[in-house]
Amino acid sequence: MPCVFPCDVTPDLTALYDEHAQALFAFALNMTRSEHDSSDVLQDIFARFAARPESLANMRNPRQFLLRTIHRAIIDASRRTQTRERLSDRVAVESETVFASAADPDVASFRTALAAALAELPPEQRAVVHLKLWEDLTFAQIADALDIPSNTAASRYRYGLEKLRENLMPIYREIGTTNLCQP
Amino acid sequence: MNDFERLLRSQPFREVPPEWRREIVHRAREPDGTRAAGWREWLWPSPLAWGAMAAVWLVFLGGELSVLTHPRDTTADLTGAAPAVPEEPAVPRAFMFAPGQELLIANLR
Repeated sequence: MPCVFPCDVTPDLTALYDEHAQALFAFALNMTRSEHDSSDVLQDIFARFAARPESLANMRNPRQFLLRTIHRAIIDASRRTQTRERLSDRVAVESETVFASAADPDVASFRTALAAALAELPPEQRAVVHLKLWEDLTFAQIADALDIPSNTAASRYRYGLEKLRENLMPIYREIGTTNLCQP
Repeated sequence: MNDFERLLRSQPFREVPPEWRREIVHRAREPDGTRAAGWREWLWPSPLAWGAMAAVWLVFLGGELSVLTHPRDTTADLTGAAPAVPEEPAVPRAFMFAPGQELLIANLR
């Protein structure tokens, strides 16, 4: 597959942001559960791209490359946060609303329940579920983005989805699917 | 993909705050921002260890400077005699190389 950008031309950061920021923000927010941390990791990776534009020159699939980069930044940030929390004995964990608000109360309560169910997944399962469902990546692409074998990605997805189904089944039965599939 | 997966996928995430666009892209291009990010990257993963090492070096440096500024007359210490007072060097003592050794050699002569 040829390079998306000519190898000697650095892609425009603004264009890169416009095209991918929403996906990166959603992934970061789902993983960190903190708007502040999501902002930090986005800032961090764009600062790195500005400092080393050559790192963008040879990317073949920009979305996959950016998701891989932000995943690593999230891991680094979570290690730093854990260190900070240990030092300050901070116990409370910030948790943000991850889904868009909905006017319909049934949809709103389903999204709240889904956010809570996702938060209960181990981060490695949550990452795979997010990339599969909301980024539509194949298991091979997920494996590449997360540095794990494809089989591991597939099994994490199965386990994660099963847990989501168990947690959401009561509300899923109560509300029904007809109302829920709305933007 | 079954109905349940399709249902989950149809739930949209929050929009990225619009004000971030300018902040993130603008700050990424600032030289200070990149420099700070570079330092953070360099100091990571053990900023505390680096800080502790810097503190130890400062203590060593402080000790070394105090020895250079106030050298001890080891011969006088041993014999109990009044310490020999060398001529005032042209170069300030703090910048001389090993003034203690120089004093010892002068006493031996």
